[in-house]
Amino acid sequence: MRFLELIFYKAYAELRVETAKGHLGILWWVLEPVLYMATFYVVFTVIRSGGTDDFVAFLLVGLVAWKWFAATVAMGASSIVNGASLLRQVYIPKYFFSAVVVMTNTFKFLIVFLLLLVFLVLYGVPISWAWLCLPVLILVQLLVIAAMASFLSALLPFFQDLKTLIDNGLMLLFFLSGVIFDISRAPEALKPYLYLNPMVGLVEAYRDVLLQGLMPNWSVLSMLAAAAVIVLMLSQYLLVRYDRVYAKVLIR
Amino acid sequence: MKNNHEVALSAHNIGVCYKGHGRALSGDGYWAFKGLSFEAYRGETLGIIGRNGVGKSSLLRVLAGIVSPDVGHMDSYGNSVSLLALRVGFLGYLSGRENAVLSGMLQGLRRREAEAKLEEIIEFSGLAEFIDNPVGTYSTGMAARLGFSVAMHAKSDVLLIDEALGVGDEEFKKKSTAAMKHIIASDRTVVFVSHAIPVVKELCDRVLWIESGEVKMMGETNSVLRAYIASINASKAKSVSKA
Repeated sequence: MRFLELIFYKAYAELRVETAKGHLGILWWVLEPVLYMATFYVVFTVIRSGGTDDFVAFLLVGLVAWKWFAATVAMGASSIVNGASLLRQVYIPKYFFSAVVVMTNTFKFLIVFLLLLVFLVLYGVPISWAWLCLPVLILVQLLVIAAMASFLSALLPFFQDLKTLIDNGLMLLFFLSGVIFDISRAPEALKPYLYLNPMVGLVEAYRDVLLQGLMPNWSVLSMLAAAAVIVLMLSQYLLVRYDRVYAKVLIR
Repeated sequence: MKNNHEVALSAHNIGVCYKGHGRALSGDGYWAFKGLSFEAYRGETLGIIGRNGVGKSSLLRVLAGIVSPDVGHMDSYGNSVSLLALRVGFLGYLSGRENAVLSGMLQGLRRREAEAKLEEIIEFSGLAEFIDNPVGTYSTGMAARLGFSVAMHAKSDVLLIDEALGVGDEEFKKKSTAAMKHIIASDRTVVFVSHAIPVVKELCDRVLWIESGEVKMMGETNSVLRAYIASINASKAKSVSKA
């Protein structure tokens, strides 16, 4: 309980720092994702000039989900390494560090996601009963993100060279995630491998629900959730196993 | 309180070994200390002395439960143990008030407790008029004052103190030294690491002398200090005669 409260307060403090830093403060939580999405929009509408009309909605749905995933996994992976000076001063259970990152990024994602819904409605996408599945979808993605962030955060202090691999690995996953193309058009033989990327199933599920008004593929989602829970348990095992070793390994 | 000899913290043959950096899983290491055994009794102040580079900060980290020893084991008998640290988790962009709550929570307080102690912390720090300014705008001395005030109000059964008693400017140094002495004199268990022989002599009930990572002597303050001073003088004389 004490640490849950601490995670919340620390996440609140980190968000406060972000608003206190620049002159635009809280506005950046909206502006930054809009700029990010605008970049992709410009690049891909120019390249695919004359593409399908719903390409904008198709692209934005994927990008919003992707950004939450990539930013949290990248930051979460380094969270224990970055917390070195703190964890050398006081004892804190090590899940704290990635949990704070997951919490702040999820908060920011929810703002952007609401904006996305507003945009889709204005864009003419019909609101559907299927949208009621969205909380489940978000929850599955949250599990996947938390699992990857905490697993990588447990390993990174021992293998700091992994950082470069993670950044480039995320870029590879991005191009293979179907954010910028329709995964259903990929060669049949490749599909099972593409689904090893957790974001493939998730991006597809968001599009099914938001753009088609369809139910998501529940079997893919439940497999993702199950895998995430297993990885979470494995990371917690590692974090407990090396709980009082990290402070020694991380030399400032 | 000081004579009931109830053990608050004990170390059994503990040692910490550092491996080469970047080769976490291989390579030979060096022992910061090895084979240390001692006990701290409830309510007493145990001093730890020794020359620089004898692994005192590593030892404090082990006692605080931040690092586990590579050999041997620690027992704190259910007592909470914390390392007195200044400016724990301070974020420069946040106000003194927010940092005091965050730092207090990181040092074991619940949010409600930290907020309840806030006025007391602010008053002790003497920073009332700056408390809503970002900590990043504070001078080093001001930040140390706030950090010290928070640390003083965090709770733990066993307090570990490293080196300097006083922090901040001259006036606050007096105040913080007095506050520390007050804690040390209370029935809280304190482990105090220092080079300053007069301070150790004044405050500690017993002293542990560590030399080359091992216990050289442990016992009543005056007798250990006498031997320690004699050994320092002897090695000084040796280096003088060499030169």
